Amino acid sequence: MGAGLGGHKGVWGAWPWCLRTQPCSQAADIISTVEFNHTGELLATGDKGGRVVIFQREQESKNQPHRRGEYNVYSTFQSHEPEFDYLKSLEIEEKINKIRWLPQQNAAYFLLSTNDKTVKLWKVSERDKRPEGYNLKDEDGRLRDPSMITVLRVPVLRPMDLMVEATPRRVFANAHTYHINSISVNSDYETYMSADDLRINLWNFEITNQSFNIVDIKPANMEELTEVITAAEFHPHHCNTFVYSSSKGTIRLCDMRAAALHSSHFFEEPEDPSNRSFFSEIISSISDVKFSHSGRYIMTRDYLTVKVWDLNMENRPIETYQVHDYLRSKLCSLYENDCIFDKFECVWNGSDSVIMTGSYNNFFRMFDRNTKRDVTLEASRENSKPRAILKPRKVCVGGKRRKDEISVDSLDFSKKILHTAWHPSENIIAVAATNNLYIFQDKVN
Amino acid sequence: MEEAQRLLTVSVWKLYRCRVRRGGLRLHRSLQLSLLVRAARHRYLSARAAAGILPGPEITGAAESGATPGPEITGATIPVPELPAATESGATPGPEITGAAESGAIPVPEITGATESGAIPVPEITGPTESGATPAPGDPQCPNTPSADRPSNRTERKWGNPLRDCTGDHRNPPSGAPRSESPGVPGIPPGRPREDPPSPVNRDLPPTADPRSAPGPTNRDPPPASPGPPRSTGAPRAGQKRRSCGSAGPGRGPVPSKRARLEAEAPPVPPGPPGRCSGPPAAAFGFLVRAVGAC
Repeated sequence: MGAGLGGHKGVWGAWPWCLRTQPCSQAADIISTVEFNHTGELLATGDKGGRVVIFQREQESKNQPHRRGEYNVYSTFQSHEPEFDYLKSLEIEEKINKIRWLPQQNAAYFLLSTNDKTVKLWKVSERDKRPEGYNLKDEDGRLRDPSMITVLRVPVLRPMDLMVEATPRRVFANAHTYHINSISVNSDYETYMSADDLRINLWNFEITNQSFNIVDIKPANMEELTEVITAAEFHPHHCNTFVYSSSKGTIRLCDMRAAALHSSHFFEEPEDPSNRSFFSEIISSISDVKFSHSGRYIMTRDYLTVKVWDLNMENRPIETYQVHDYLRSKLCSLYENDCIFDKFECVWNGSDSVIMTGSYNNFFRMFDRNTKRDVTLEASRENSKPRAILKPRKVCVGGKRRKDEISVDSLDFSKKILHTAWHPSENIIAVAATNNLYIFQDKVN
Repeated sequence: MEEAQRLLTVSVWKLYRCRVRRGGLRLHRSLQLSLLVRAARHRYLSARAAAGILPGPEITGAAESGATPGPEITGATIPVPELPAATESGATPGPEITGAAESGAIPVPEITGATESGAIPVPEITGPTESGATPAPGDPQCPNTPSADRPSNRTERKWGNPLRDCTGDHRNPPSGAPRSESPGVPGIPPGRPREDPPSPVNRDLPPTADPRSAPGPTNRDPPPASPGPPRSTGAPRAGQKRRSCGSAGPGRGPVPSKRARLEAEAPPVPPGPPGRCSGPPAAAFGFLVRAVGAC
């Protein structure tokens, strides 16, 4: 398939950037979140070991035109450590669940990272100069004898090798009883929210010991629990509006203004009774919810589909895309190997014309909302030679299998793409496949 | 039935593994497993009843009205049929599964969802449901309507409740937790409109607010029996053991047997498509369920 998506007459080419190259994947190296910053200059990844790795795009140079803005490692730091809750005798995993960038307001970069219980605000800054010529201490840092100082000099800044340092500026802890699944920065850039299974808290970046509880679905009797919160996000432009999804496949659009307390919008599609099975509840659980960049649409991902909702229409989605419907007959097997509980994410492209999500066998899918075309691509080392063009893949659901098709039974369910990211303005995507990170760009002819 | 039984077996083991995995019990995963366990269990029991192995309960009210059996919704008023056999044995009224005692089948203990009021929140299939979903065609009609059951909390106390055992301390916030303030926005209740008013913002209540949870999340102590005839306190008679109890009040009445307690449970909502009916003996499955519940 030569024509690309997103209105470009191009194809997807590979930047064979792999985060790690160990032949066997370490559990701690498994990437758990991927996020571009607002300009696309930086790409942050978090893994199960609690580390954050930030990639920075190189400036395009005329001397090396073939290295058009490649991403290189910019900074690596340990964001979260394993902890132990002695009160409940529970271990708290260090896995980074989400990373969210703050808009850049000065030379430093700020991002939020969270594990199951604690959110941290990190400042990533560069240092390329160091002061020299102190009066009271020498260049090694040792204090000088004041009686030996006879001349007073002014310290000067001298250039040094670029050093990128990440420092934790705020730690927001002890506010979540359950596991945090989402964080979202508000458009006012002063607050953000964190969501766990039953509650959503609103924070101010400057205040770490208090938060407002804005959503609480915990029943008085836990035996009456019927659903949990699975994802939450602020509206991109309206600081009073946010959305959260549930394990029942419903979406709630909420308004925090006092006059709109009881006017939340409830989005739900009626269930097709012909498709009901033991696993209907599980596969209808929404794993990710994203506002479009315009703020007019909401995209949700459940186990088999991606749906686009118009904020003005609550009774059904305006678009439904089948990601891997051939798995509908395999739900029992997927339940036994726990794959049915996988939480896939979904992303919009910069113009909201294309949506992307992951699947199994290291496949990921793109859907063009305008042309209604879709493509399945694979992120693998064999297919990602430098500057190679990604070949569309196809899954054979029955009948005679063609040469370049793969049968459903041959899919490798241990290779799954749960986390993807799309550059905010260009057709550059980052795809996390277990412990490898692939970066692809749409090649314009 | 075979499919349901296999799913039950797999699900129970998954629930057990959920408890021991790193990071603690995941509420979302536990909820999903619990819902599936309930659905599979109901299908299993329905299939056995339909196959004539286990005669179902007499649901005179539902049969006369022609109402399609469905889950009981919180607040709904559904006539409860008579269960003479259960009351004669002294057990808490529950589904009539007389065959269970003979074959050794032990229904899956109530894991979640069932309340003392008999409400079964999900999944809604038919009747005055919130979702409006209807049973799949061909689905065997389960003679055991939830309205016939009065689930007891004894089973939950015996086996524990994974939802209550999840990582969060539902009674007390973590130590050192900041003071959370609500700006006046009540907790937005989930789900569709229901008969009950939406619950207000629910901050973690002190232990005394939930007396049923006061004994602990997994209280395996035998349930308190109904008070019997008063007896005099003092030294026991010769050859008799004296049970120490908290008060020198009335003595205990007859304690229902373990099997009777396990049988006194509300069946979950019937699931979707029909399953195949066959499988290994239910006694082995019952043993598996007991083993998991003891972990």
